[in-house]
Amino acid sequence: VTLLLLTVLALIALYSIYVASRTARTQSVPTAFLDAAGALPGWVTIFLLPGLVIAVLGLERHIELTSRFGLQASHIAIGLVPVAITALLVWNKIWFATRVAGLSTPAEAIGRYFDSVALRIVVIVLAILFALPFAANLLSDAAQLVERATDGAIGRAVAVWVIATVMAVAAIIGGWRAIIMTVAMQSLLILVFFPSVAILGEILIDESGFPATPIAVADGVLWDRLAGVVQPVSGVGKETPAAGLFSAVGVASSVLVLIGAVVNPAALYFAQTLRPGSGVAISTVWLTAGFAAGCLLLAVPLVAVRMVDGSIEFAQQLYAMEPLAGVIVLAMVFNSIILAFSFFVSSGAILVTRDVLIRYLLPQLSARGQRLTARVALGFGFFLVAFLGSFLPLFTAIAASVVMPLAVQLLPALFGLTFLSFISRGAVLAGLTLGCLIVIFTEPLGIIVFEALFVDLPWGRWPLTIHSAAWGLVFNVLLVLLASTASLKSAARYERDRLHRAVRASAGDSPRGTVELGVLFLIWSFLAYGPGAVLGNTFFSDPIFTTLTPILGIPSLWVWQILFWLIGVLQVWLLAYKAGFGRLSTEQIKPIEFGVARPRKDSDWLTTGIRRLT
Amino acid sequence: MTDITPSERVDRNALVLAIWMPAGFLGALLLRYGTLNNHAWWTAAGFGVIVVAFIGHILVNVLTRTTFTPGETAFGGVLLGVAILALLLGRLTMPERVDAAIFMTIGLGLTSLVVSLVVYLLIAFGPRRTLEKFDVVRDNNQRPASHLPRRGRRE
Repeated sequence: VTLLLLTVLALIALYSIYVASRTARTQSVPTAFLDAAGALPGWVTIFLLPGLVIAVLGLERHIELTSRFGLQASHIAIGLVPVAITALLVWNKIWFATRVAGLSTPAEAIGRYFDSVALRIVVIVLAILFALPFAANLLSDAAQLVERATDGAIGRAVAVWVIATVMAVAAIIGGWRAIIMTVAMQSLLILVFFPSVAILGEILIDESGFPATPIAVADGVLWDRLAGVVQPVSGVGKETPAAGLFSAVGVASSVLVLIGAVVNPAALYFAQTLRPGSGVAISTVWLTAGFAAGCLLLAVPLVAVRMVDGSIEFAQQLYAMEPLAGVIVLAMVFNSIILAFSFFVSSGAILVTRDVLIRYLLPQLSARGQRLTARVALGFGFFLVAFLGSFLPLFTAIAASVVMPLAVQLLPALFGLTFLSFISRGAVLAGLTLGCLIVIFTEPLGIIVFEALFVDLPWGRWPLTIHSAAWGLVFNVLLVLLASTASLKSAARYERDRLHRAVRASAGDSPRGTVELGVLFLIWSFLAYGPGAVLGNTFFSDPIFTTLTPILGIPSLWVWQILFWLIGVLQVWLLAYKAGFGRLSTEQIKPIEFGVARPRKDSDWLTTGIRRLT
Repeated sequence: MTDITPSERVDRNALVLAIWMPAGFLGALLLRYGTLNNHAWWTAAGFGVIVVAFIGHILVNVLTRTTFTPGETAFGGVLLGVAILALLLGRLTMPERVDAAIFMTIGLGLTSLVVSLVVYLLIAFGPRRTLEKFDVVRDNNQRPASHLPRRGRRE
């Protein structure tokens, strides 16, 4: 495998360096290095999102979980539909807000919208968390894969530094535009390779696969159904849920984590730098909710049955029949890790450059100086990540576990910025603090530290098998709503309303049918991955409306997943094309001066009306 | 290539490469497995993948209002020529390895690529301009009179 795999990896490296060098030559202004002049190509918009979501989900990990827990684990893939919906809603509004009010980064957008330096710092810290421990953990995983694939010929530490160096060189040469084009290419590679791997496995390997062969799980685990609505266990590490980790509520909470893939600072910055067009609609409807979700739901159970012992063993099995097939498996897994690594480190370094170095430390920098600063930051960022990945893998693994759930805690702030102007600064800060604390204390990071210093906690990781992101978000949202009601008529509300009005006016026609779509989404969510999803356990194999027992040949839950995935795609299509959230246009944009609090004044229509009467 | 900005040219080239990277790899896998194991359908699938990528490349050309670059034309032409030559030489020198079934399958596959190219040229340029692209003898006439309309208006 070694030589072929290294050839494929070398080709990817060559692509990234070629694109970077060509991009560097054609950059019209030096500052385009940092933001691609706010005009990332349309094809990048189309291809990047599905690969990014798959990478954040963790392709190899998702397949491994499915081979351990069966269809209850693969059910999470239906979450790509809400991910696509969130991307449409949030990315659309933040893109317009960027153009209307000149809010160029996520930290600036949230910080200026809520007039809060604290929130600005929170967003920057989140970007750093994604860029350092989260990315270092990914890099460590990728290096481990290379070490195992090459039978130790290339050691983990060597692989860490080589991968980091190659990616750093490409990023330092080409900047944001080149990085994103490489990531989009890797995403396309995953989208082609993943279904190919599933098909090759089915054709080349003689033994019968899924669904003829059930997924081999531990005794007691329900491989073909969800493990109830909720499981009364104190948490992973304290108590083992007998029927499996994924109850309906457990799946729903894991879906929330997936949403973190599109609301983290890096993804928001990507959305802010998009070119106008309908790329987001194509990406969310057809490639993310459609193709990627379908591939995961349909193909992951097939691959999981064959990949019980891990990706290396599966690759070797295919390699024995056709060497290139084995390499495809490894290239797919490797790419799915490196894609996220490159994306988060680069965006983190660029965001720190813009929001900290240029804004606070070196505000007098020329355009060329800004580019140089970004290059140094990128080099430093990649060096730090490689350092963490090679010398502190355990620390990065523990720290990485909280990063995505913490990003999800930004949701109230983002929905404040994009839709709900009544959400106030104080409410967001209070909710965010509470949400982050709850996340930390329902993940190993908080539990290990607290138990080592004080006493054993009565709960473990993910109490009741509900993900830490959901625990945090529930209390976060409750506090935000409660606190916002106390500040409904504050003076700051006027300025926030002004931005919302300007964004709505710039987006053109007001969205149609959003209320109906909202109701449809709630019903769909309840049945697709909420408590109602347990109906799918036996709905088609042992229907309640007849005494007959149909011979289905495939698990009822699989049919349920496919059915609700298709309905989900329809919803995303309606939101993108009919409600108009998939269209980004500069035609009606009227920039405003935002961020200066103005005194509230009485509306003059009343005075004018009375004067006319009298 | 028509007039597009250097930045758009980079976008277009990056996309073309992004299409050919996975397609080339998958096509090579299918062709290799099909040819070595004498599975005609695998070989056909391999050519199918290449044709799909070729169509993708054409779509990119259409969307970016460009045509194939000289480099792409030369690379594709050389690859196609080498493949045809290798097939013919293989059939002549190693008939036991390249049997009739493999010859037919790969031959039909290569023909499908040529047909795809011809169809593209006809749609993109029309029959007259397509023929003119290959009319080397007409283009060889360097006399100024050859540019007169009644003499064929050679460009």
